[in-house]
Formats: sequence, structure tokens, C-alpha cells
Amino acid sequence: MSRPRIATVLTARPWESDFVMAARATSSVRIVARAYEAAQVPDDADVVIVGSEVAWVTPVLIGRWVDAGRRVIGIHPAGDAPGRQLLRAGRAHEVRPDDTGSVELVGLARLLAHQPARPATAGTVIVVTGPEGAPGRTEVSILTALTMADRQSSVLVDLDPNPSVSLRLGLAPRPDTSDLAESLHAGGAISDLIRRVGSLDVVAGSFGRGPLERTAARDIVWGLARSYDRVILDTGPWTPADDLVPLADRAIIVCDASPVGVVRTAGMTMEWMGPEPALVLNRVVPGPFDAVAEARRAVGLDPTIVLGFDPSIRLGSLTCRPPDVDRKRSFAGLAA
Amino acid sequence: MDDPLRHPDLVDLGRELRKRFAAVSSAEQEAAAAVRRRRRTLRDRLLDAEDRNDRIRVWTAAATFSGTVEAVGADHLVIATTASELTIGLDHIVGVETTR
Repeated sequence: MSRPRIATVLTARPWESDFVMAARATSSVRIVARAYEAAQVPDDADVVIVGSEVAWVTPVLIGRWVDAGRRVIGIHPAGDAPGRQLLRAGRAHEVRPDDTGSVELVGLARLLAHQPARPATAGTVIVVTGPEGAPGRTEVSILTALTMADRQSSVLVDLDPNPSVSLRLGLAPRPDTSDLAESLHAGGAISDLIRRVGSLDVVAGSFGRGPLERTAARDIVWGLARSYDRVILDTGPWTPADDLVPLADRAIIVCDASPVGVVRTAGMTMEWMGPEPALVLNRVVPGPFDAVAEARRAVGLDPTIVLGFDPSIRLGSLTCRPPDVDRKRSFAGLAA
Repeated sequence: MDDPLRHPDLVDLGRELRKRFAAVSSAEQEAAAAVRRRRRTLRDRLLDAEDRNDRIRVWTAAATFSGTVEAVGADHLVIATTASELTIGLDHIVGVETTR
């Protein structure tokens, strides 16, 4: 094996720069990144060395690295019990105080890099979104999640800035996504924070507690993907700054079957950065405007599902009843 | 011991304190990144390129050389090109471009 590839997470604490200096002096490992943010940690790093003091480092993120087959060394300020707990909750392979010698840490990194890694599988993340003003995103999320729940363990997460899933399904507003994010950050259990409606597990959206932090939303998605086969996210209206779409394996765009809706969706897909989306054309009415043809032409996507003004769809999402057999097949196709 | 800030009466206070701590941590990390940029030397850049196996292009007063970094010595750089190995004194480098 060639020299191990090590990524560190940049921190103001001296252990990180000392480690890099020791690594350079011994030349026994390669420093391939000193990451300022999570996305800068390369996929092919053998070992990640991370300090618990970094704001965006959470147990879920560390667990994600471990699941991806990277070895993780966690460093916490000496005597800082919560920092140590955070690293242990993330399942870091080694947890050391920051007064550990840098040469010792280099040796530890070399040793860990040669141990076999065991990548774990994660559930599929499906994001349901659409342009501002597209009606039916939440209905489509609920019905998609219900269809999935028949086959595999599935959870619906309401990450819409104006959440309505709990209201529609008659659930109490708390616990919500903020509670779940805090529990994940503390390395606590999540089962008490998830509600069951019929065959579906649901996490209610946080209302009136400020927007969910980017790190918190990421933790929720990755944390649930460890426990469920399917994680369905109702994200609300899409914006170019959307942080959730890049986390998804699949995407569903809901488009209003009106000229304005098609134009808005076409504008959205021009800036789209994410998995190739499936298109749901909603509220199609018979008339001179051929929404299916116009969606194909303007958006460039063949609608996977075409929905008319059907009260049974709304009723199904309100009562948590799965769609009928034919429609179920269509909804199953959304995540195929 | 359980975190006392998880007590139902103190949950909001705990959340606010954690938010402030995260803001301070982020500011510290930003400062660390700035310090790193300011202190980094040309040799550090070349060592980064060697460790990451980046392709580099090096300008001297007389010519331009491209390849991967084979080694970074105390006062020189060795670039592996398709045909040969080239040693350049660090003092003679006027510019470096790296590509991943």
C-alpha cells in the first residue's frame, strides 16, 4: 500500500497544524486535504482526523464517513466530556484528547489506514420539490411515502419552511425536526421523535422556531438514511440555494399543469443541480392547453404521473390512505 | 451525567447557548483558515501538490514546465514529466499553477 491519504479538518486548535507539520516531517502519510467544510473532505481519503470543536462536525457526519469506509480519528479538547461523547456517538475509530503527541497521531493514522474498512449501505433519499406556487407537493410526498411504506421501511420528513404534514395528518406539532436534529447532535435516540401514521413513519416539520440550520437538515437526512430504506423529504419550494437536493439519490418535481406552472418549472430545471428528476404534472384539466405536451417541450421531461383535479388524492393524503392500485404503480415508478 | 440544559424548562436556553457556541466555533475556524492562507509558503503549496498528486505547471524566468511533483527538497523541486525528471531550484520559481 502506498502512503495513506489523510484528510484533516481545519481548526484553530494547535493539534491540527502540529499534526500536519509532523506528517510532513516524517513523510509517512499524505495530507490530501485540510478541509474547511464537509464537502472538502475527499471521497478517497483513507483516514479523516477531526476535532470535536468544529461547529459543523456532528455524530451523524462522522457516522457517515465511517459508513463510507473511511477510518476516523476524533480529537477533543482534553477534559471536554461532551466533545468526547460527540466523537464516540459518531462511532469514530479512535478518540483522543488534543494533548496527544502529533507524532503519535501520525503513527495512529498509519496504523488505522491499513485496517480493512467496512462500508455500510444507506437508504435511498427521495426529495419532493417544485417551483414556488406549485400546488400538491405535500400531497405527492405523502402518497409517495405511503406507497413506499408498503414495500420497505420508509419515513416522511417535513422540511418545508412552512410545514403542513403534521396538520394534514392530525399529528401534534412536537416533537419536530428541530427536536430530532438536537437529539442526533447529542448522539441520542431518534425512535421517540418519530410518529407512526398507519404504515408510515413521519417526522413533523418545525414551525415558528426559525429556519433549520443547514447542518441540522443534513444530519436528519443522513441519520434517517441509516435506519430506513427510503427517506422521503418534503422540502417545499425549490431555490437555487437549496441544500437538500444535492443530498438526494432521487428527485420528484411537482409542476402545476398551467402555462405559468410549466414556465416556472422550466426555469427551475434550467438551474437544477441534483439527480435527474421525475416529473409529476398536477391539476391537469381538459382544454386547449396541452399541459403534457408543453411540459415535454418546455421542461424537457416526460411526466411520470399526470394528476387531474381528483378529490381522492387530497383525501388519501389527509387520511393517510395509500393510492389505488393503478396509481400506486405510478407512484412506485417515481422512486424506481 | 445528563446535560442539565436538556431539562424541559431550560431547553430554549440550551438551544440558544449551543447556537452561540457554534457561531464562535465557526468564526474560529474561519480565522484558522485565514491564518493558514497567510502563513503558507511556496514550499507548502508544492508539498500539498505532491501529497494530492496534482498536476502542476511551473514558471521560471526562462521557461515553463509541466508534470507531477516527484519530490520537494529543502531548496529544490523535482517534477516528473512524460520524458524525464526535472529539478528546479525553488528560488527560480516565479509562478505555479496546480490542477487536480
